[in-house]
Amino acid sequence: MTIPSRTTWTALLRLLTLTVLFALGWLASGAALAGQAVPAVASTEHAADAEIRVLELHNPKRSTGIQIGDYLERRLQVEIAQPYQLAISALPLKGTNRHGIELADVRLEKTSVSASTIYTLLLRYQVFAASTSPAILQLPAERIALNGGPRALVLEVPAWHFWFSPLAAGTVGLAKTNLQPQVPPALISLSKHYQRLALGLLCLLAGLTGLVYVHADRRWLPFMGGAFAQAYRHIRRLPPTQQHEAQALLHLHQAFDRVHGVSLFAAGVDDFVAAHPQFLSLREDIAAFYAQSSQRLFTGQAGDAHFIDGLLTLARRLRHCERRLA
Amino acid sequence: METLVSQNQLTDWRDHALKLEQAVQGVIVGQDKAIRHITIAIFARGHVLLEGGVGVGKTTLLQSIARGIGGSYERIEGTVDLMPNDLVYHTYLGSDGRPQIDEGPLLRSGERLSVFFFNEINRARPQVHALMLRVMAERHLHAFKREYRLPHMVVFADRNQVEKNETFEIPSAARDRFMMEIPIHIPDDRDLRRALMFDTRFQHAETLTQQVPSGILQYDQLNAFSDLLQRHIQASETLEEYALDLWEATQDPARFGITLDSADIHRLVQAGASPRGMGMLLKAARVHAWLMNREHVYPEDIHAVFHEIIAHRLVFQSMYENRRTALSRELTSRILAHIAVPAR
Repeated sequence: MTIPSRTTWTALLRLLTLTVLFALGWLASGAALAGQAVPAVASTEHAADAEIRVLELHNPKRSTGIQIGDYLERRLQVEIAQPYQLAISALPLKGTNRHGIELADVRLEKTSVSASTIYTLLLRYQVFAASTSPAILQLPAERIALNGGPRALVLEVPAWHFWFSPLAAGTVGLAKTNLQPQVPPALISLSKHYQRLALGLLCLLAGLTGLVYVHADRRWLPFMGGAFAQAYRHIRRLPPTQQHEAQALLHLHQAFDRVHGVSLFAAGVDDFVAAHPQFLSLREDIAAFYAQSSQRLFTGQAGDAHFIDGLLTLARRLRHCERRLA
Repeated sequence: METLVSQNQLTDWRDHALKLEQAVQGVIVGQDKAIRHITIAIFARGHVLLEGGVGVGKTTLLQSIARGIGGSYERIEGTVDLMPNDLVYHTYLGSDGRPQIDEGPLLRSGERLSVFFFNEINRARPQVHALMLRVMAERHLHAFKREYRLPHMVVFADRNQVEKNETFEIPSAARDRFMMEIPIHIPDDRDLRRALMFDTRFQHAETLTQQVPSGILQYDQLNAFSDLLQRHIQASETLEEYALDLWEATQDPARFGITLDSADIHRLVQAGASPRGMGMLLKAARVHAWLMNREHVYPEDIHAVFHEIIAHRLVFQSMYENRRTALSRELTSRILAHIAVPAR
């Protein structure tokens, strides 16, 4: 049996170290994939090198539920013995996209201590991977070369795996393929509402019609264009002056004559209300009107200041009777 | 002062006129309307034609009126052989065997004559009509070489409209001299008819007449009072327009949209009311207004006398003359129903 040389022992030791580190990295990754946020420990290909000492490596606390657009940060603090130094030019380039993981930002801080320099590296990634189903993705492993020393040392940052959750299910397809026969929803009966609406509209219409019927001057409905409606309209247009009293009387007399069919005089008032009972309630007023009219027309006695107003009021009341409202 | 005196006169005379009406109504039942019209004729100083059958109380009515207004009452029966002279005088043999001549019924009472009743005037000849109409218009007559004045006379004439034999219809010009033709009909009221049949007081006309106080009115002052009354009672312009419309409607009823059921209105009227007739209409209307205690004539006053004053003046085409009474009544009613006041 040949005793290995020192170089061989060193190579074996390095291999063992790498194996252990890989195993630890794999375990850490597995734990992370299992949903546990375990801070990863950075490992280097040359971990045994005394020039590089990883102080801490912080990976994202959450390794599941990562979706497109999410930012993931890794923070690595490493102490590098002089004369080695971490060259900024060796850092991965911002904007590099590897398998859908884009390096969004890179920051490097350094602090010098006695014979070494402590570097704090911040790597900020953004996920742009597209997948229609949950998938394991990784923040890529980084290899950062050191310079300044006689040897070519490389600081390796291991990959960090995480579960990528798609925003939409992978089975999303045409909506038509997902259509299922629907049971028609039970309809809420609107018939009662329609009935109430119709009733309300009917009442509104009746009310409006009633208002029109009472107040309108024109002939839109039966009895609306009656003799007294016309008389009322004519008298209303007359100026309330003494000169127009005879004209106002004329309009009202003509209305009585038209309704009665023959000329009506004071002696015929009872016959008038008997033949037209809708005016019965105004019998006394009609008799008073004829007495007043006779005084004005046949004795020359002028009416008072409100003579035409009085005639207008009487004409309106007669119009109401004519329209069967009184 | 003069106005106050006039007012007092009007009031006093109205009281007397109403008292006369009440008194006559007490003995002549069911004829209130006719009595009112006769009262109007007396105060309007107009002569009256009486329209009605026999035995309805015309004589009693006129005798009662004559007793109420005072003066004398005379009567003559129209016959086919009646001559004008029979109205003026009559001859007879006196107790001494010599012929005697006395005044006839027209002159017998002289100026005291207040009511002259000519019964069945259409039985008399036209000569008699002519004399009578002249006396009615002039109220005086020359006879026995002197002038007989009859200033207070009111003539009441009855026409027999049932029998046509031996009658002489009064021509339209003669009818126009009469202010009114007053219908006197048998009362419709059953109780009144019963009273007329069974109440013995109606069997003695003379006794009935005696129940009317004599001299309620002073017949010899009626003419003067009538003039006062006519001056006092006024008619407005509106009423004058109305009366003019009525007049035109009697002349051309078709122009006013008047129609009759039983006659062609375009061919019915030959002549409407005369100016004298319309003057009498307003005269009578004023009396009615006075009786109703008004100082102005109302359309109702005209209505109250319209038929009585206008109907007998209308001249119908000969084909309608035999239905004159019914047609004239219908036409005057339609005129009053169609002519409005105020009309413009």
